[in-house]
Amino acid sequence: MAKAVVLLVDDEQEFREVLSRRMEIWGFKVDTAPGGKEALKKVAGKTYDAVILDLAMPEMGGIETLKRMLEIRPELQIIVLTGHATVQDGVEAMKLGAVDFIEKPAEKEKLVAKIEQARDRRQELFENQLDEKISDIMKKKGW
Amino acid sequence: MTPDDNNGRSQKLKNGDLAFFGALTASVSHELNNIISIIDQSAGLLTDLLAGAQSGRPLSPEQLERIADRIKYQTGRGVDFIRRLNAFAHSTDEPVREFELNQLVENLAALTVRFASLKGVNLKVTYSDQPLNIITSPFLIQQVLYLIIKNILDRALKNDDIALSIERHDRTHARLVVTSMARGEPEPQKAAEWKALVGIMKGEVFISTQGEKIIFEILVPGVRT
Repeated sequence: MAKAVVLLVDDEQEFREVLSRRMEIWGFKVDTAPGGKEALKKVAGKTYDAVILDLAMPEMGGIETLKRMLEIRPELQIIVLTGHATVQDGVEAMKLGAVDFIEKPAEKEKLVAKIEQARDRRQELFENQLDEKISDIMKKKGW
Repeated sequence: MTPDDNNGRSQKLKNGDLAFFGALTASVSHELNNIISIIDQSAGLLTDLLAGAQSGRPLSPEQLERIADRIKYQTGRGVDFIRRLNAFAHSTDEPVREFELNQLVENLAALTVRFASLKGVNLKVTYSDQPLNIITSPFLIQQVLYLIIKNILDRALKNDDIALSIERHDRTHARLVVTSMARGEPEPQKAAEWKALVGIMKGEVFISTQGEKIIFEILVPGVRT
């Protein structure tokens, strides 16, 4: 299977650097963004299998970023990253359309499993949409 | 101010004390969790690199040095937060005592800066030229400053500035001034709460506007001559 393409959004530069390096070692292709604005630009211009999104960010907060990313790409598989103090926000984020949440510090096994699940769901969504399009075309053509 | 002044406070104000204590410790615990996450991921990166080395992937000493430096830096950050949180926690040991006002405010500013940075607001503190030893309630001073700064932040816009200055007002009073862009005035109930808290220290709070700015001036007696 192709490498999953992941976008990591977190305002802590050192956290971004270390986790993105690790995710590359684990076999993912990783882009990073230091905040909501940069993340929106990235998702508008590229397809990601999963987005790892920190909720506690300055300026555009994680919840706002989540809402706006889903407006641009409703099919995005967003996994939110929370501190202990923001688990309630993690639940709120899932109500708004995030597919999962994980608490910091994030364990490798959990993170890899959640990214792979997200990639599989995105792939399934893509295939379903493709099937629907093909069916529509076939109906229109009368085949 | 005497310890008895503090003992006579209403239950309502004491509940406010707990809320302040809770908000500050929650914010610091969040910061500590971020620091631990970076250290945890750095240790994980070392494990990943060592596993790679065992399968023949070259291991660069520079990379290991960078990871060690990162762990050392983040550990230092964590120790600093814990030291500051400890100083804050001990500010409740005695209701009234002698302390150096600049140090107290510097500690509070370091612990509250996350609230400002989450809103994209700059908090700048100017300290008095000379040390300001004062006998009063360190907890109440921190609480009032926190409540005023939090109130400003609730209305602040990105890139706003909050200036906090500490100076000697006269022979016996210290003067703390918080200035920011006026984005509406504080609710009368809040202003009354701050005045009540400062009143326990026999001090006063003045709120005024000057052009586009709002100014909160706190006068506290007890400065040692």
